[in-house]
Amino acid sequence: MQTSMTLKGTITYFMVVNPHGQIGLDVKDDSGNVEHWALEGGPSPRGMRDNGWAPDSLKPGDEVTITYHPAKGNPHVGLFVKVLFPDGRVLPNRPKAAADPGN
Amino acid sequence: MEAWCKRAIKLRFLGMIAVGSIVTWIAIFVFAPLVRGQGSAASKTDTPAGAQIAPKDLFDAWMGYNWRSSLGPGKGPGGIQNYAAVDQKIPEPPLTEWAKQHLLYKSISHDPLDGKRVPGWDQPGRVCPSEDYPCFSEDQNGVPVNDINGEYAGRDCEPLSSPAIYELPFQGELEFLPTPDGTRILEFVEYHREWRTFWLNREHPKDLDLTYEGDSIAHWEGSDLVVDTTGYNDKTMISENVAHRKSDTFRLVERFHLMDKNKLEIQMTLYDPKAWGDKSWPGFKKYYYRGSNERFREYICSPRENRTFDNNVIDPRSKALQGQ
Repeated sequence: MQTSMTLKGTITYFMVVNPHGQIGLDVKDDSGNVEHWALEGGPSPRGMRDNGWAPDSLKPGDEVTITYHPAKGNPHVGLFVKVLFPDGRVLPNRPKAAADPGN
Repeated sequence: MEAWCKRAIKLRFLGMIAVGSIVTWIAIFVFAPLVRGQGSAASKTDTPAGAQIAPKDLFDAWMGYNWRSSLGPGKGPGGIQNYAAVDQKIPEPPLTEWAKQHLLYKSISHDPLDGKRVPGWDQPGRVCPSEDYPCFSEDQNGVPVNDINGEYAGRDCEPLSSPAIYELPFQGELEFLPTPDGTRILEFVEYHREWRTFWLNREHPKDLDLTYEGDSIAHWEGSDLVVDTTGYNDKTMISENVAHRKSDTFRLVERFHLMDKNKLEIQMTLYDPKAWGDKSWPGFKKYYYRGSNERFREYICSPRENRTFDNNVIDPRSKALQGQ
């Protein structure tokens, strides 16, 4: 089973690009040092759009909690799965799910 | 004219207008939903049983769906897997010695279809994509696989070519359009914005330039469109799950078959004399569903954007795996 973990931090960049979306996140560790994280996901620009993402869904400075699958060796890189905003909003929210005959 | 006569004519005229109006409104209420339905998006599932399928039914936009539906892996539409070539059950023909010398990649990013398996997916030095399908460390020819720096179709925005354009159906639509003079059918592929010309009125030219997309000739067999493509250059990947390039003798035969008015099956057989001798590789299938051409979007692979992914994600992971 792929491990899921969460990270709380501040968005530094967000791109809906090829081949996968990218999220940059600054995370403060317990000592106050800032770790720079790069999370990929999506799976693709089209997939992200269909799942409720827009190019401005995340802006630099947004404080979020991200559920992700860590990459091997923990180089501050992972695969993002879910983003939780302070106001309770969640992405992806799959508004196109109903249109998928697989669902 | 007598007044009563004029009145009668007037009444008859008004009566005709009234009847005409009623008929018009009835027509609007009966036929408008049918007309609207032709342009609406997604999920056209109201095919009457036994509906006749005609060649022109192919000329539309078609959407592919992710195998990872909410029903679970492999439980996509109709229980069909539709992800890369992993649903190909027929083994690849063995490679010729020449192909092993000239066509193998140094490594690939994803799983092969066969080869040496790892006991679990969580192996040091290997990035297995998922536990949902088999995970290998090398393919049957010893090519390292699941390598973060390995080749994948469209890496660095290289052209996908066929059949790799169908690799990930959820990445975008297909659209088929006939030319007005009836000599060609154009296939537009949203994923990486590639397009191909299927020639209906000629054979392959004798002096064929080798190209990324090859040269395609086509004919109808009933409502099936059969397309024969050759003249590929040797620069593109067959599938992200196949660890060698096409040779310049690669040939693809596609059959576009409508299973019903709204479901398209693409059946494919691959040939490559330099790679496989006289053996063919049949059994590839991809599924698409009639969509709306409003959903055909721009999917341009920009080398600069792609490099940000390599810089931000691939390189740090690669360095971590090497212990730097």
